[in-house]
Amino acid sequence: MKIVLFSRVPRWYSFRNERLVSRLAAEGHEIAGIIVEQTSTFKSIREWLWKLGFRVFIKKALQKIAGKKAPNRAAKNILPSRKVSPKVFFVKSHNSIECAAILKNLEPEIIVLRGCGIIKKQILEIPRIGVINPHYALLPAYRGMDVTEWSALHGAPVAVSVHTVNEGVDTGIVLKSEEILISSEDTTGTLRDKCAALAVELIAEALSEIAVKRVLPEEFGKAGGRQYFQMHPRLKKLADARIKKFGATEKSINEDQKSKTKNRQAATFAEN
Amino acid sequence: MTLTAISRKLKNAPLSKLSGAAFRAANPSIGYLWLRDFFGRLRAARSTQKHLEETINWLMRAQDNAKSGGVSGGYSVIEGWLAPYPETTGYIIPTFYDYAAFSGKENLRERAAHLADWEIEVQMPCGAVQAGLFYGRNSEQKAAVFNTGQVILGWCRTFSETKSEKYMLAARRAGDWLLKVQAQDGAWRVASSETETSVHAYDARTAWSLLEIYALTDEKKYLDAAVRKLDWVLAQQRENGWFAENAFFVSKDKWTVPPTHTIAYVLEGLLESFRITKDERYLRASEKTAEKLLRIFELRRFMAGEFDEKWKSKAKYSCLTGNAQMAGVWLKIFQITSDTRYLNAALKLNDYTKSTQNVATLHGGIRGGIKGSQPIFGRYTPFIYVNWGAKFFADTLLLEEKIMSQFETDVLDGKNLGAQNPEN
Repeated sequence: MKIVLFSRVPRWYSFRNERLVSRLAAEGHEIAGIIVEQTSTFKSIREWLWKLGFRVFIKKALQKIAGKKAPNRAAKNILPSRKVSPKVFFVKSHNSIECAAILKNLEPEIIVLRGCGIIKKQILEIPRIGVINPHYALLPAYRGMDVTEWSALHGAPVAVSVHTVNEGVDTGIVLKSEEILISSEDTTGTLRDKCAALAVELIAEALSEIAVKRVLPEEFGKAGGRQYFQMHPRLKKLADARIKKFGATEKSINEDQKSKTKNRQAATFAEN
Repeated sequence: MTLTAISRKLKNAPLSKLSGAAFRAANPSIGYLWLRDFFGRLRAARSTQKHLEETINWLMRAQDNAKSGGVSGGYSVIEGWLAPYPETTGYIIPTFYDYAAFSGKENLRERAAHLADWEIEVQMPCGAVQAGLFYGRNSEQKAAVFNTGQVILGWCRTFSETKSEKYMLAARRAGDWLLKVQAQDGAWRVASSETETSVHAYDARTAWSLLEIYALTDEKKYLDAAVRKLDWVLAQQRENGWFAENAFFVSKDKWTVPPTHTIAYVLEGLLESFRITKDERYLRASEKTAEKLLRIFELRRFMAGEFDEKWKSKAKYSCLTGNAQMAGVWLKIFQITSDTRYLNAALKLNDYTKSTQNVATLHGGIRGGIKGSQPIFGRYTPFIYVNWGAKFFADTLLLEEKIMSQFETDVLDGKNLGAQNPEN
């Protein structure tokens, strides 16, 4: 399938060895381009530090500098990885006329969002099939921001969902969803990292299914759940304390599926 | 406040005020305050405990500086300490009792009882409480509905704490006056010397005061009057959660939109009325508006000081009293619904208000005080550290401390919180 990725990073950010890009290429998809909404270095570093925590941020930064390729299930176990270097386009906003023009030129079948804001209708209507997005929590219960942290704070399952995108905030149809198994060594930062790795797999799986049907499921009714916003640092500390104390023992949605999930995720996180 | 408005005010100000302002601006603490606010600089927030303690200390200084009794209306960077304000003194009484219970500082109880006694001294012969500041026994008193309701809250609380009948008697006299001047549809339409408008949705708090008398006396007439007013308030709520009839002025050249202060007054009145009556309509109505303001605050990461009927705001200032009240409303809704988004927003809004409070200066009028607006020249009570801002900030910090202590225990005990059913 002809795919365009949307991302939001500073100009110097390199997509070489990008986990999602190589995974989708390995699946045989055509990455027509990556459209990047450029952010400032300071803002991005502050955001990454907030999301990942200092330890995970440094680890990821060193991996990036060393050019170490992040592992993924398919690249390691199923398919040989392919070197890909998709075109990168910088835009001021994903909702801009400039972005729409690039998209129309690229003629994608599907857009995959990878960390960006609310996308407006005029952009959502351009790809032939639609737009999908990975979300680091169960839907529709946890919509919005910092949802990994909110799930952990509430003692709810931490999960990744891949969903279709409409004009609402995470209100599309859920295509794939998988729970993350938490250990007591985890922090909200490591959980986000695990979510990012699992999101690549779930996007690839969702795209494989879409490639067969060539259509996204139709939406019906109003999405439920709650929209969450950026978490206060005091609550974030509490979420980390809860993970540390109860990480491995927090109740899963489906205890029977826990061992199956465990084996499946072992491959993804082994070298992450 | 625009530069033209400031210059107009300066031109109209008497020479004594201008010289007073110049004299006070020479104080390094006040000069520094002007500079910081002009450049929009905020401070790092300290612990909730620290801010709470400093706020209570400021309120005590405001009481000590009200020479004729009560609590000074505030500290003006132009005029110094203001005369006592009967209305706000009334609702500061419960704050002193709450802090005494929280901190074990018993002298706060004595202070609270002293304030309640002063309120009886200045109560009007008709039973009402006067509008505006109290300038002495010989100055003219004009009865005010809202102010009467707020002092009833103080008397009822003092009665609950001391069991002294004199406070209940004063509250009943005030309550009976409110019943006497209430219109058939439940609203109060009594002209006020403080506002251009005479009918107010924020009198939901006045209705709550009648419910407090009802809760203590079981006299149904107070309940009926309160419910009539609350039903009128609910009828003022628009589909988008905004309340009509909630501004101070109507003249086009004045301030015709409600500040967050009066919006939060309505929500407080409705929430407290729900606590007493258990009527879910009051909770649902306050939740509707509270959630709207939560979304606005979270998305803009700033709480503007006023909102029009479409929830639009051109305000570049924040009404700090309104902030403290809204955080308090969100905390109360969290207590009722366990929706952690309200707790989260309240913590963030309190952080913002903390960052506008100076807890380091030696200046008694500034340290621990809450400005009417951030910056200090904003539209809501410019140039004044208001006692009601400090009162509501102390209330919300006190509630934050209590809630966070329980919430931390719940989280670390492994309780399942928030959205348990992924489909909800």
